[in-house]
Amino acid sequence: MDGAETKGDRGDTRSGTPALEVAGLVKRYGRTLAVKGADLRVERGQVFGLLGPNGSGKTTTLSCALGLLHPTDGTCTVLGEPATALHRTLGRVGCVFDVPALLRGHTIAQNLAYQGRLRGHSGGRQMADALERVGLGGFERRRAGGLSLGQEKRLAIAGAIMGRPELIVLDEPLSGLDPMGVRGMLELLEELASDGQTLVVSSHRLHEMESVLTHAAVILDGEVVRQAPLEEYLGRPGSYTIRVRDAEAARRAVGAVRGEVEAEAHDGALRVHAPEASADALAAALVEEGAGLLHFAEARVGLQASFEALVDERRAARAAGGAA
Amino acid sequence: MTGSLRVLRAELVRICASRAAWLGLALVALIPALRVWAAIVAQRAKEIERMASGGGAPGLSEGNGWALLVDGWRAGLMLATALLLVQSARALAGDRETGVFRLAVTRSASRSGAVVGRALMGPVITLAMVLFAGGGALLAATALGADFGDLVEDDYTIFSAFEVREELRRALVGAFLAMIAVHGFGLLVSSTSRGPVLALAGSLATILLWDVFKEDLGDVRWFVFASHAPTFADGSGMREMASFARGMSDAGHPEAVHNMGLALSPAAWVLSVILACLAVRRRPI
Repeated sequence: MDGAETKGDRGDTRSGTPALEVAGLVKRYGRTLAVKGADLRVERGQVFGLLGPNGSGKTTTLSCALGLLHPTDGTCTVLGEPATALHRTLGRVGCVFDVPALLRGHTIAQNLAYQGRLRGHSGGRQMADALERVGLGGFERRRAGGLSLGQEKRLAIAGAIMGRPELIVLDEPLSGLDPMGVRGMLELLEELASDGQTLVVSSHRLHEMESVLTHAAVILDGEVVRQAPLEEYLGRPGSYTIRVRDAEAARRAVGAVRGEVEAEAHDGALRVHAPEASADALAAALVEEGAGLLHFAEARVGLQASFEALVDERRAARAAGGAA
Repeated sequence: MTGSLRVLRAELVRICASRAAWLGLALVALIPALRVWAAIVAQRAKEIERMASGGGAPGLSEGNGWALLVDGWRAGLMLATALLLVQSARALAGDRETGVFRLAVTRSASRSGAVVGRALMGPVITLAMVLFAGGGALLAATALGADFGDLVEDDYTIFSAFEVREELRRALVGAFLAMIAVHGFGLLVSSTSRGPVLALAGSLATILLWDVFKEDLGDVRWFVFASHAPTFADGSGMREMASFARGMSDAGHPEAVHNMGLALSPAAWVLSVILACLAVRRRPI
């Protein structure tokens, strides 16, 4: 990713075949409709978040996409192969489940050797590389059953990234981790993303995932209610929050910058939307005008706030539907 | 098929690295050795008692090692059959519970391939167990000075050593195939069970129940593969072999029963594996 590219630009659509595609997915458990016609498309190179509260259908959707559950209706393809024939993508897909699937009586090295053999190789160099990347280098002889949850998740990720698969699917990688564990996991995900691998991550930890994702879909009550690049969730680009000593001078400075500008006072600060002006130019204008600049920051809505707005919208729509 | 072989190789790596598996194999070798040792102690006690009462020396004068070997080997195989059931019963249900079954399905094999790969472990584990049980019994019998020559009683050769070896080979082949079928059966129960505990209970209970009732069924029992396996209520060719090794010339399964075991056991294994594949095909994993 070069400097001019925004996170939302990531995703190679040229090859035509998406990394993961879900079309009209319906999954019913008895009388419960867990997923109601979900559509998802993850392009290669994206870091895609499947976001939603507990019980919203994230894991069910991913399980169907990976062929672990049979959908009631709809189709799922992974790297162009139907989900039921995922094994044909041999070594090109890595999966990490919510509860790490490990041989707990075996050592870390033996776990990776097992997974390597499942892919048709002996592990060797790939195993060492994977352990280094997840920060478990030197722990090869420790038993998986004696690891902390964070280490278990890292070991599961090591198994998934052996051989550098094109697509890595992670189900709730942050669940159950302490703050340091979350931080370490996010750094690991950022590192994987920076290597250009396609990541599909399901999570209900929106605030933390914000730093990693390039695209996200929000799933509520089994329905995908929004799928968009992350920037679209985070608010309008070119928006800034400014605090100054002299509000009038600030207004004059803002009015003088290039292009269309909107400015409004909000909670003792000035909210400025100037999509055509750079942050540098806007700050320079404020200094030049003698506004007494105290605080200058890019204004972002945040994924959590954006998500809450979607939930509120949905509740309102449901209430309106109920009233009607 | 390549998916199944990948799973087989991975499962071999797994079992070779498993302490429980080595402990199981050690037990399968140790129990025959203990059985041989206990038999020799009992034999010597009887001899002393007989000598004290002024009796002669009845029984075999040469080749008495064969009976010890077969008794020990048979004890090992009985334990091995139970361990095979345990291994196979947890193979699918246990791996589904821990999520390990997903690793194969999302990496290298279809669902059926993952089942077949585990089923192919059956012959491998069974062979290892048969060899370890035989090795344990042979080592113990040899160490305690057992004689593996012709079976001789009162200077009369009942069976030559070659005939005993042939009969033993025949009994072992029947038992080996039946044990593989038991492994397949365990896998089938495992594929239909909700969890490993239920799978283990279900498969063990079925085999034990069969043991209880099989004698009542007369010759009909030979139509069920489990009758040919060395279970705790052993009625297999190995039991007959134990009598044969003591010089009883009427011992040994009739040819028809033996052949039925040779045909039935592989068929039962194949059928079990097919049914297990079908059972796993639509299940959530």
